[in-house]
Amino acid sequence: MDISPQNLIYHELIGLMVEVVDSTNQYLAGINGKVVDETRNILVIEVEDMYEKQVPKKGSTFVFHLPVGSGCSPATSVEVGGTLLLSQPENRTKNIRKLRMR
Amino acid sequence: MSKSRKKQKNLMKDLAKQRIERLFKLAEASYSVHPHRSDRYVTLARRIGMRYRIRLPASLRRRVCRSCNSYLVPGSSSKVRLKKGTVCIICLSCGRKMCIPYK
Repeated sequence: MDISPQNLIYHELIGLMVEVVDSTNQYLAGINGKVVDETRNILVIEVEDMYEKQVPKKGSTFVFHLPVGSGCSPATSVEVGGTLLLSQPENRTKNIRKLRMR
Repeated sequence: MSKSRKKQKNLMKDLAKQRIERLFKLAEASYSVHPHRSDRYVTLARRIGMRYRIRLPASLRRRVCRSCNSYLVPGSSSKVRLKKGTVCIICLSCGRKMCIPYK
């Protein structure tokens, strides 16, 4: 199963293009770039001029642009609330247990 | 184990495998410009492997230092020597030696 809007929050975020749509800190809203690193509470985004910005997950809303070659053929963008991503990067996949499988 | 639990477990392992592969690709791509980033990606990949009990693929196992988690590139961050029927990979940042026998 490739990266798709359904499994985005359980998959790897590093390397994806992202846009901060909304944030409690107004100066962070509108940041656009590539995810370079991830911790439990923070996404590190590389802005175009090789400048890194640290955006807290809590209180922010992100739009991730999925790569064209992945599970979805046309370029797709997914809006995700930051609180859904609040977890250590290696533990995030485990949260799939909370889903009800049929 | 019930059927749905098994399904969840398989899905988790599948996602984890994909994440590991992706992180190694990113590490390779970013090594020339940001070597510290590739070390971080490799550390994350190893952690994911440990958490979901997945072995790193054989091709990638020689690309990580098991002691300092740095990304090994022969010639720049590691050196490779053939000694007494073994391939010795030496990490240049911590000096750890990894010897793999061959015939």
